Amino acid sequence: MLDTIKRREELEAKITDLETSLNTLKKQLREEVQKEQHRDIDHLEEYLDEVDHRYGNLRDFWGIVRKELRDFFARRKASDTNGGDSSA
Amino acid sequence: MSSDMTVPGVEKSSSSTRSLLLDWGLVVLLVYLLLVAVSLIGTGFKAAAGENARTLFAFAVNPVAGLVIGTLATALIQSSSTVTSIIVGLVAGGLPVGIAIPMVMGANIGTTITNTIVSLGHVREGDEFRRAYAAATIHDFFNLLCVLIFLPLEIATGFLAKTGYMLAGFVEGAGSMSIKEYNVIKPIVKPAVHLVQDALQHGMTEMTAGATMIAGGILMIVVVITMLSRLLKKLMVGKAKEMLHKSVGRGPLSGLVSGTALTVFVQSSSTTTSLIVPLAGNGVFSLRQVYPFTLGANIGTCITAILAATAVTGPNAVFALEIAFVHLCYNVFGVVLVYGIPFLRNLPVMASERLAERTAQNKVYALAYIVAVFFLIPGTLIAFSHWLGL
Repeated sequence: MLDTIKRREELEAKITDLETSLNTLKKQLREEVQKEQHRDIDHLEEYLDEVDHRYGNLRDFWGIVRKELRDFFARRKASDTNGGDSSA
Repeated sequence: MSSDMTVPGVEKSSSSTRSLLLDWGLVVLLVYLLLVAVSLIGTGFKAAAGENARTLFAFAVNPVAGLVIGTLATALIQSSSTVTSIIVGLVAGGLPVGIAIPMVMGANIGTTITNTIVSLGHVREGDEFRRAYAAATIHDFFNLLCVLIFLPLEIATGFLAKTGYMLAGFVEGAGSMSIKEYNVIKPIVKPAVHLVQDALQHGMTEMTAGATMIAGGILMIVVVITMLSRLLKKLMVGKAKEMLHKSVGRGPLSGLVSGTALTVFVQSSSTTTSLIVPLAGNGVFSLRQVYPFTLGANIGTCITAILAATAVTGPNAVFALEIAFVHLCYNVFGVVLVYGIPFLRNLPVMASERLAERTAQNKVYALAYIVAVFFLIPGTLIAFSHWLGL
């Protein structure tokens, strides 16, 4: 009986230790994240510039979309041709 | 000691103080010009169309048409403050509030195109693009959801118009609760509007003079808000940083208040919602952390139209204030209802995350999304509502 109680107490102590460690780790993580957030906020001027130059983004994006569309139609054309050949 | 001896540090600091004073002087001048511009539109309509001004807006009686006009105009000008200020001017000129309400709702949707375009700047960055795109489109989905809930409710009950009218009555009405007597804006705006009106009516017919005032007023609002927003961005960047630093780790309400305050400071909701795109893209802020911040932008943007409405004179002044308050109430109710109910709150999060995942894999989705939400669906809705005879 004494053994069982001792074993249970040991387990409870281990859980308390783990919970304390977990809370410490969570706190550390929260502090790390918040530190990073403060660092990022210090770069606000750069982000404001990004807002002002948004039309450049559209040009860049349009180039990527055109390439993806070209690739898509090329693949379709190739699969149509292959399908046509096999049926012939 | 010779009096022309100068200390470099002192000279530099006095020149920066002078430049700061000049900048703030320019801000005051621009706000004044905004107030004059809104009044010019109202006065222009009265001169050009008189009592028939209401019939000019018959084309937008269909609420879907009003919604689409607000969406497209804001997507093209990329400023909801500009469009809502123009709407206030139109209401001052005779546009019925009932027609204007779907337009201000549309302005909320249209303004979201700006941060979506900003997020496209991360298009080559894989995961960074996915996060940035989700942070941009969460605002779109929130505003779309608000329209889906509030537009039918408004058509059925008119609760926004009634609340807006009640608040406008408090500012403009004749009752004992009115603060009309304390309005110092009207007396300082009136002389400038009369000056322009008199100058134009000398060489033109009343109708041409009215039309010129309307066109000039609209152009002035666009130019003034663009300049004001640019100037305030430069002047308020330090304050914005300070506010963001304070809101870190403080929960959603603090994010909401910061988003509202930042938008009031820079007079542009699209600037606020675009700023959070790179912050979320870097992965430093999570989607759920930036979400309330974008909602604050919806509330903060209403201040421009409220300010503009206080300058309107004449019998339509109360309606100009009504539409400005309708915009505020709509955005506040939207936040309370959609963000307040967990099920509704999660819908924009899920929709934006899903769309961002798809778009990160295939960029064509982004193009299809912009074309569909801002152009194709509005066009289809107009055609469908005409077909239904709305």
